[in-house]
Amino acid sequence: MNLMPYEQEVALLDCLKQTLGFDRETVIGHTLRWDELPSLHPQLAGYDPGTLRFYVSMLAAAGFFLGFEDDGECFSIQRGAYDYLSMPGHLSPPLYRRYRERGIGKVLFEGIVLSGLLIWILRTLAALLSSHG
Amino acid sequence: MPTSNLTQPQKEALLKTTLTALDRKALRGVPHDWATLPQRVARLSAYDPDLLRVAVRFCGSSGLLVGYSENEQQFRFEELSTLGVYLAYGAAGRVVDTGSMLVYKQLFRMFK
Repeated sequence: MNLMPYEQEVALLDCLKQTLGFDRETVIGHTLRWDELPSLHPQLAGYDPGTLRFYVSMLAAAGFFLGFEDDGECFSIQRGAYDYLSMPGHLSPPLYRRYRERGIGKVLFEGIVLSGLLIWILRTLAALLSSHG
Repeated sequence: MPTSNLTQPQKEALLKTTLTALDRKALRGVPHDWATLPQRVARLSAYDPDLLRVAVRFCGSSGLLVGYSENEQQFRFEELSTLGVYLAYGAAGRVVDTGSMLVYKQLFRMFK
């Protein structure tokens, strides 16, 4: 198995994420041929389209690119991952882990208890302030 | 590459399974042998070691694993990154999102 040096792989993936994930003018929402990809960025010029195709498809599988389509000759990307991460309705990673480690029942119960406690404190404070006022 | 023959959904499943299997406290911050990884982590036992090596290395090089380092025999990592956690538990997270939103709405009505 021929793997490229690890540092080189990191640099290539960073370049692909930056080049493909944010470029709305020429990449996102457009259809590109795989053999066009090396000409998009000087750092990609040294790689053959097959290698780039492998890494782009892995990045898409990991969720860095959304709406990835590949017919072997051409590919398209509909959105970068950073759009996805900024969408509303996503909980923070610690809460995801907490859910996995403790289960949804305990996480929701803790949330309700803590929120109830906070409301009680705020109401008590409001009552104290109004009685002094 | 051993993963070249996989379809896109198979690649997604491979990465998700790898990340979920690695996200154990006992596995964080300690070196793991490439050769014995499928035996050591039960959920990965069905995978070919070469395929796993490509997948784990990709998780490290793409930033899905934080504090990743490797040599010919071993690799280690510190924890899953933000996107790694989303990828590993994305579907479960949506259940939490829905439940949390209902609770928040109810609490908002109570407070109002």
